[in-house]
Amino acid sequence: MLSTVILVLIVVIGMSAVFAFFVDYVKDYQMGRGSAVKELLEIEDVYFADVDVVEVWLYNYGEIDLTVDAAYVNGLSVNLTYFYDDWTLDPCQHKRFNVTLNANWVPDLSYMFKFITSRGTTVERAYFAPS
Amino acid sequence: MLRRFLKGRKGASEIVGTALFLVILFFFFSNVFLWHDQVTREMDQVLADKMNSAIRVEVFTNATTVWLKTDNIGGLAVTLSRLWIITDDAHYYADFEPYNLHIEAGRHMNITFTDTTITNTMRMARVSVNSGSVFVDYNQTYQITGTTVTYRMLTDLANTAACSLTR
Repeated sequence: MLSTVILVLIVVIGMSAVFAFFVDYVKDYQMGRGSAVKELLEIEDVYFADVDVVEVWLYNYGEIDLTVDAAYVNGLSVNLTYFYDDWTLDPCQHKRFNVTLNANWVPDLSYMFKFITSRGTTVERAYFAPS
Repeated sequence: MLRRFLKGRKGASEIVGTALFLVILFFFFSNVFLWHDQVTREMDQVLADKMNSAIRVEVFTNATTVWLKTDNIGGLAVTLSRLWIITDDAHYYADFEPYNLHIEAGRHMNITFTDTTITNTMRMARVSVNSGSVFVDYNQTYQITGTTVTYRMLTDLANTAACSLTR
């Protein structure tokens, strides 16, 4: 009799733990990687400012907020700093970031800018440095 | 043989329990699948709207005024988000979002920049839309004579169109 009760308890507790794990996993998925499809990011403007600094405006036209995680120029990781507040862009928000290149930019040379969000969304565009 | 199998009760609880567990899992994951399907459809619609709301901009000028004609060449209404004014020295923008500037399909909107003070520079103090119905404060000045200025319009769905003016 006691063994039955213990067995029932073990099964109930075990199944509750499994169910809680699934609920948590799905919630994480929906808030994280699963929501990546709701992210839409565009490079709005690129301005080659100082010798190695490029001012980039990003525009979030998706349905959820996104966080800019990394930036690459011509396939190389570059230093990215935010100009306003933080790395997060709310829906319909425009935000400026500063990209510091690994070397001085060269006039008339094409630069491929790539930005990656924390959910893995990428946007990639090529821009020419001014003459 | 079959009768013995059907009459036997050994292991019935395990089978029922497993079936219930599978039913619960099925409902749980079908919920996730339906959510993902719905989100994907929503975003596909956004991208389809983006493809169907293209714009075209043309710049016109006379002695004192520059105006920008924005045509909606798509099949859906567009909402203007920002106008970028790009010179050799700097990039400026006028923010249209607070003004809800919609252009219906097949229609156009004129945006006028009024040169208020200086002859050789265009003072962006005033951007008027459709005969002055909307004014956007934009306190920047930039050199316009002898250089090329590029105007790039951005819509709320991130469609862009650009044109240039050389004086």
